[in-house]
Amino acid sequence: MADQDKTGANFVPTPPRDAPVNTVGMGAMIKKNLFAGPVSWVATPVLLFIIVSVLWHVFSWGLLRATNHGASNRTCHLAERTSLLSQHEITILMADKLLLSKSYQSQDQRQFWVDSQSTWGRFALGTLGFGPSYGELLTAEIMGNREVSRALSQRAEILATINKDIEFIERNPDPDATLHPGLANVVAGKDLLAGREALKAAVTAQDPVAFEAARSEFDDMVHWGEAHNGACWTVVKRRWQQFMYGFYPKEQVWRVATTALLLLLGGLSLLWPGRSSASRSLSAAVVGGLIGYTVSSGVGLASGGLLLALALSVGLALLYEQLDVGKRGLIFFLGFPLVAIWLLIRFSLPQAITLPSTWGQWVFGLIMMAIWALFFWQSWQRQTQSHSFKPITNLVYLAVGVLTFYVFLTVRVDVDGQQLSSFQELLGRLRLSDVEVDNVWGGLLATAVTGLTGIAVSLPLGVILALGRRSDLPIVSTFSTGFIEFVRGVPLITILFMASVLLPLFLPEGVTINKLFRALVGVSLFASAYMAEVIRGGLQGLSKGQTEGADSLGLSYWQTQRFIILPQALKISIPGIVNTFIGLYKDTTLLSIIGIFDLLGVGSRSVLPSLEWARLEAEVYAFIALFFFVSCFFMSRYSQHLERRLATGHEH
Amino acid sequence: MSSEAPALNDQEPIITISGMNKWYGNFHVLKDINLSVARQEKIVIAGPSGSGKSTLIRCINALEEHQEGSIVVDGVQLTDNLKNIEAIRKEVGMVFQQFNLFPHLTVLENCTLAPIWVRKMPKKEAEEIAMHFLSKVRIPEQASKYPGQLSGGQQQRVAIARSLCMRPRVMLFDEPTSALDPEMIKEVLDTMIDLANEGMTMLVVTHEMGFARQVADRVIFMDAGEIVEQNNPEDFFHNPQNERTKEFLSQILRD
Ligand SMILES: Nc1ncnc2c1ncn2[C@@H]1O[C@H](COP(=O)(O)OP(=O)(O)O)[C@@H](O)[C@H]1O
Ligand SMILES: [Mg+2]
Repeated sequence: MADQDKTGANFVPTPPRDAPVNTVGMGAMIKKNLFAGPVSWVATPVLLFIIVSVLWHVFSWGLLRATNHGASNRTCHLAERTSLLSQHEITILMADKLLLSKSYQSQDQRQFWVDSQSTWGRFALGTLGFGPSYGELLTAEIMGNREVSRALSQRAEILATINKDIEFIERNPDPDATLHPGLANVVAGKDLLAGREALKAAVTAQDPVAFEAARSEFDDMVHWGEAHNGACWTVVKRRWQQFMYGFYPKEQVWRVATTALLLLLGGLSLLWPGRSSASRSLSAAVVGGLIGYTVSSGVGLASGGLLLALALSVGLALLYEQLDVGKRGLIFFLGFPLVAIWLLIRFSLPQAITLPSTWGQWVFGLIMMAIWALFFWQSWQRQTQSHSFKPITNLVYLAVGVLTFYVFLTVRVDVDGQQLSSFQELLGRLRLSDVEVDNVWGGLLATAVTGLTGIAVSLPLGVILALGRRSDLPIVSTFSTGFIEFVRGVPLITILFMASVLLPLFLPEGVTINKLFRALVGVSLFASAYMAEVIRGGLQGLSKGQTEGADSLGLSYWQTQRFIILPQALKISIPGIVNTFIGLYKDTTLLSIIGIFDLLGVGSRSVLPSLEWARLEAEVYAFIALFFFVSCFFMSRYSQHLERRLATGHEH
Repeated sequence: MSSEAPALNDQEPIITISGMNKWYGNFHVLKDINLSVARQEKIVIAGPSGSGKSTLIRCINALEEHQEGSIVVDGVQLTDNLKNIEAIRKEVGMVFQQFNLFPHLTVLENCTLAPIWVRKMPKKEAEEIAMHFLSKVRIPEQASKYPGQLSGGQQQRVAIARSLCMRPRVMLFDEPTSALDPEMIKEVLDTMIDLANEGMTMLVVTHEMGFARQVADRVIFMDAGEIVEQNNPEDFFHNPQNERTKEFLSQILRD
């Protein structure tokens, strides 16, 4: 084409063309990213092979061949041993195969093959798996071979261990009272000692048929063992309660579960907004129902009391979800810590709240009804204002109201021969004992409490310290800077020791603070210092123009920080904040050093040292690692989601 | 919206600056500034870069503090008393070269934030007023967008609307068109001309001499922290007195 010249003529834009075919699509992507040059031609397959084989081993160990039945590590030990039987079968088979082979004649050659069986020869023959049956192979020559006889005697030893394991399992029955069927077969079906004798006899008699019969007796056992010789998750299953709650009294564990559910309720509604209102109501109702059920079954409420608890909890959860996000946040951040402390430590209602008389019940019932009516009225107002009538919401409100009214005022339950109103029963049941914190709280409970408190405290404290460090007031900025630099410059473990040893020295005689609380203070302060620096980074990322713009409109310092500076600075800092959260969360494992049984502490200092669970380090640490990984990964993904959600066009 | 009935006598100047001096550390930026601005007066401030124009108008709403002399805005003496500063900022709007919009808030939220939190206006009313001024600057349809999604000219008009929502008595403009592409300068200047025609008191730092000719009651020329010359636009452009002014004008009016 000749030179184009568009002067003079009217300008017509050239229509766009597609990109060249070899630069787009799957094939181009693979070529460009995976096989770009000689290095990647080598690196891609090698790395792929490594990744696949590592993943395969993990998958096979942790899932395919894993066990979770039995009552102790003995079950897993048994599986390991029985699967070894088959390994020795391979040894025997292989030696047989080699000796019978016509490809070599001399004794020397034969010896060479026998000796090399442990290396590639073993690999090749073992994996190919061809081989005639035992019957054919059991010749006098084989029986004389020392490799084979060693294998046989090892086999006999293994059988003896298996026998011991089985006896142990029989003596210490499964807590579930029923053995897993596969295991039960193994335990019940075989008389191992007799089997062993039969094998020995067959060998001595050089009777192939008898040997084969004696050996095949163990087939089921070997198969079971091969299918279960991976990870021994029995330890996690049997010690689940301890991993979750430490030494929290078993019959009180529902209190922890209730707290966790409340957290879930608040978390779902605050961290996952923007869902349809139906989905939000549904999740609130479900979690509310679970809360009601957990409390009821925890305190042993039935019939009327259960109904009341369910109605109250579902109703309250739904009402909570109806509020706008600011109110929900306020209620959650003020209410949840109080409720959690109350639930987890001290649940006894003050005497004053006891209103056993009928009029007390009426007063309480009417107050509940009034609160309900207020919420309903508000919702109704909103509906008429926005002209969107919500039948389901209204139905739920009405149902909750009627049910509350009905249950409060009419249902009577029989408690130890006394006719009580369900209200009285509820109050009566909620009178619970206190739970100690030190040496009782542990596991995930301790980890989560520390982690969440650290997160909840370090963010606001970090903001204040960051603002303080930038303050124009020299005292404020010196204090903030000094605090940040000091705390950041000291290892967390030192701070924890200081908190656990030094803090009590400053307290007046006779006043004690529990160990966990001291650790909480230490962890929170430590995280705050880091948080402050992360947030200060965000603050510095903002142009001075933002403050000036706000100033010129007459906003006060705190208004400017709250509406203009912090929202933007926190948004910029999300990756750093989440990074600090993750660090803090993982650092809670240091609690085990100052004698708190956190998740790691339960594993390493309570579970593993016990004889029952000895030698299960891999499983215990893998479980703990997996747990931390999953929660940290979730945090990381959530932060990325948050960043996307908060993006507002291109920023300068 | 024409400015409401002033609280004080109409004849009283709305801004009185007398004997004002400002230093940055030891650097004497503003020297002995005396200036009074009448109600509804439009003043254009010109001068070479670094002459202290921005500093001068930023002193008026206390974005910078001055060390000597007095500034009285609408009867309120500017001291370092926070109450006074807040009172003055309520009455004085400012438009910046870099817009300084809040990128995390929508256009509408940018406009309603200060009325709601500083003027304690109900949200509904604030939104009505915001829409009124967004219509005035001709971008009501962008109300729900974020500043980052708008062009420079649109952003500057939002910034003007945002200031107007506080119903200020005085508007300060610090080179409002300097950061804009040529295509967008006109739309912003037109908005400012409309505002001037409605009787707003305006102090405008700008090099747009066409705007000065059309709108200004008075043009002030500053150099090295001093007011060198002030006059009505006619005389200022055609009959400058000071050599420094002549040199400056010859430079910016070369074409
Ligand atoms: N924050 C500051 N600190 C020190 N010097 C400053 C500061 N701001 C401005 N200056 C100096 O004060 C002088 C006047 O600045 P400015 O008022 O911005 O001038 P103009 O707006 O006329 O270009 C310039 O020499 C500038 O370098
Ligand atoms: Mg300037």
